[in-house]
Amino acid sequence: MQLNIEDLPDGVTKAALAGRMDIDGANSVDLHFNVLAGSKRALVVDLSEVSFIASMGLRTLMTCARAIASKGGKMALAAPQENVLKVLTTSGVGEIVAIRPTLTEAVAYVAG
Amino acid sequence: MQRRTVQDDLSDVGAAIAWADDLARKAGIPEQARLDLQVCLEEALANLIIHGRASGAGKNVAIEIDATAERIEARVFDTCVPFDAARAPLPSRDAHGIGGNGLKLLRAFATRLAYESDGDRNILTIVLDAAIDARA
Repeated sequence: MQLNIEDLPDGVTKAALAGRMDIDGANSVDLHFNVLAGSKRALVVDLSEVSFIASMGLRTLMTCARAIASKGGKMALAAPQENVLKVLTTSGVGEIVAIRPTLTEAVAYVAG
Repeated sequence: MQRRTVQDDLSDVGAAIAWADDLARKAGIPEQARLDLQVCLEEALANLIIHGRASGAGKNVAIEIDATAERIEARVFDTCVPFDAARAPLPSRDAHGIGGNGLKLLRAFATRLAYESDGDRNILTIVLDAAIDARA
């Protein structure tokens, strides 16, 4: 799993994931998300290149989202592929972290 | 019918899933159904490895795959203390609203689940119908 972090305007950070967010993938980025959770208040996670996710990956994302929210910040998941969106909606992740169909909408949400 | 042992280690789950996916792909199962199978197997195997309580004989986790172009049947074997993943109450989320998704996903993504146990050996059967309209 690859992770690319980029600072965008207005204090927004984009974390772009690529690959499978399975057990191994979640493990490989967990520490990075812990750091993001501790340091960012406006985070967009670009899921457009994520081909798979299951509960371990959800845990990584939700833990980060909760931590950011606890500090008054916002996190959004952007542009999930169809099968990833199916996992997100089935699990109810949307109750904890915003999901937006495009990166632009996700950025607008966390920056607002 | 093909069978593979799964080590009692999360690091083997990815390889086990790739093995099952390869069999399903060769049988002609469409990609969406294979992705659903991957979700089911990851949840079932991770649940056993993380939460399964080994009996004196160990966990002895293995999977069998039987696939046609229309249907995949995956059987997950273990010798843990029995846990009916098909019918057990869903665990509650923790105080932060996190967790409890594994069983929910397993049940939602399988067309059918069945669990049997004779007290020593357990079998979770995961069935997925490959037809596109059945997977909507």
